[in-house]
Amino acid sequence: VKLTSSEGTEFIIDRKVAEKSVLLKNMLEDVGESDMAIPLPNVTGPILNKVIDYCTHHRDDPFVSQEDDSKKVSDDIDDWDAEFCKVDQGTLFELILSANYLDIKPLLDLTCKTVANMIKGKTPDEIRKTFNITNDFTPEEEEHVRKENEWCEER
Amino acid sequence: MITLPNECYYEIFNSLQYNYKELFSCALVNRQWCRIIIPILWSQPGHHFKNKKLIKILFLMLNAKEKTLLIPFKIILPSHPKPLFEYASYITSVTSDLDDGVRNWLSFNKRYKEGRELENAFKCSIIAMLLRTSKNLKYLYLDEIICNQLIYENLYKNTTVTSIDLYELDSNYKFKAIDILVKVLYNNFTLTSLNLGSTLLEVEGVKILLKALHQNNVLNSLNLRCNQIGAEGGKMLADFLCKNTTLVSLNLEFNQLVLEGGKAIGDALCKNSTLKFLNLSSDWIESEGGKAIADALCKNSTLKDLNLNSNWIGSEGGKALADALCKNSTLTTLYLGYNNLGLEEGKALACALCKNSTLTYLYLDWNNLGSEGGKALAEALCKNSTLTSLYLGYNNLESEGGNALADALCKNSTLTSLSLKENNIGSEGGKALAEALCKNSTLTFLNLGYNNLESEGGNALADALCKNSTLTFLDLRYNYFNFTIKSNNPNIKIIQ
Repeated sequence: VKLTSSEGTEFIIDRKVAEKSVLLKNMLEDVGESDMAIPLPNVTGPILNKVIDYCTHHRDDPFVSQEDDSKKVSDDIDDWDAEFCKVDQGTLFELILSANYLDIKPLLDLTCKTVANMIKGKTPDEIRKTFNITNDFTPEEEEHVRKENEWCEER
Repeated sequence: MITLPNECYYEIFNSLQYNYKELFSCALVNRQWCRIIIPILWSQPGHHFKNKKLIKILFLMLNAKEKTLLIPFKIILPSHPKPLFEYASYITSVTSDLDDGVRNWLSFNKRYKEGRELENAFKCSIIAMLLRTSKNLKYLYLDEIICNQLIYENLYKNTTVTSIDLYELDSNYKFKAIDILVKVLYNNFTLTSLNLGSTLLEVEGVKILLKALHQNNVLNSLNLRCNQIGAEGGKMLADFLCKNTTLVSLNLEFNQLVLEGGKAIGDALCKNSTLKFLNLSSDWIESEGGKAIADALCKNSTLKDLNLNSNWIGSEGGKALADALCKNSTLTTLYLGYNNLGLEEGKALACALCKNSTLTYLYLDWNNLGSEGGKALAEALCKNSTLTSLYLGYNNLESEGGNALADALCKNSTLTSLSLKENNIGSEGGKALAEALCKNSTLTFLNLGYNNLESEGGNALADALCKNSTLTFLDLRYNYFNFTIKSNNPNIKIIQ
């Protein structure tokens, strides 16, 4: 299967690897085998490279259905996956976008869990600093949200 | 930061679902995060319903009609500004923790007299409000407050609730509550699970309920444990099961169905082809009832999980059930604890295990299989390759039974859980089992509590644990050795 990234770089991968992506799987089923490259205008070359790495490593994993809640725990990330996610924040968010676009649920889960782990144990201010987010609450609003949800802080 | 679409944020925050503190911090980050998180935060408050601060927010959402319930008590609720979000509309599940929450709020606001009536008025107002506002309310816990007119009206109109638990009805409310529930059921097409455990329905109540359920084809789970249904009620339920084609799970535990009820249910199971889970534990169906169920198991091909604990099934019933297991190929879980099963029944069950290849879970605690029965079952384990859990606690297996089972563990490679609790296996049996653990690499759960293993057995097991790396749970309580067994395996939990 041939894929082209947003810059036009061509990637050739096994069909089995490509089928980790539900988007590509459906496309391949509709179109059938073809020499035409599938354009992926939303994914850059370096990111596509990472995504292919992930799909190649996990090529033989069984397909997990969408509604499998048992995997929702954010701590169980295996070593390879943890190493895979040791990238800068920009790349991590690009990976989330690509996983979402290409519909690769396990990669989306993994990258989202990684972000969730980055959030854990931080105050709102620390979270804003970590992800460079501006606070657009008015002080009154912030106070409202705090008061109306303060029950969360107790065990 | 690259902006992500909301669905990706949703994914991130969902993996923090029950970390309320973390989500609370995230909700305070900015408006966008807040809007995504609040619905997640409020979807299942669970034990946070106990928190008076949460109850206070819920009070802010009552409308005029709901507040009228509090007028007789001359209560003026806090009148803060309108909350930022429609918090109540996100709640999907209401648990009995809400009772505690209301009580906590009341005892904090000391100017109100405490008492059941006042508590109920508060609960009614909140639950009526939730039934009115929540777009996703699925699970609802109710008690006598179902008798309140406003609750009834809102429940009657509701099309989201799929599961209702109705608990703690005292006799004054019982029939009124059933009456209302039935009215709701006639009109309802969303409720799939109904829990009426310990409501003391008796025959009358069951009759009224089943009349409504005859026309219902949505309900798939019904819990009627502890309802003093008796033989008469058992027969009615059997009639119901012959015709019903939607019920998947039925719990009839502690209902004194006795043999007539048991027989009727057995006959019904020959016709029914939807029920998968049936609990008839502690129903005193005796040997005759057991035989009827056994007959049914030869014909029925849908039932997967059957609990017949504490039924005085005894010899004939036990053997009939064993024979049925030779023919049945759908049942995966069977409980036969506390049933006076002896050596002969043990042998029959062993014979069945050699032929059956679907059963994965067999519970035989508190019978009297003895060492010979244990040996027969051990031999069966050498041939059987489907059973994963076997419970043989309190069966006087003695060291001979223990030795035989140890041999079986060397050959069998499917069993993952084995309980041999209180069987007087002794140091000999303990040593044999320890040797088996050196070879076996499938067993993860082993209960050897109360077995007089003594120092010798203990030492052997300690050595075995150096070699075995699959066991994750080992119970060694009360075994008369005075040292602590340790393992290099970090994943194992040893109770001693």
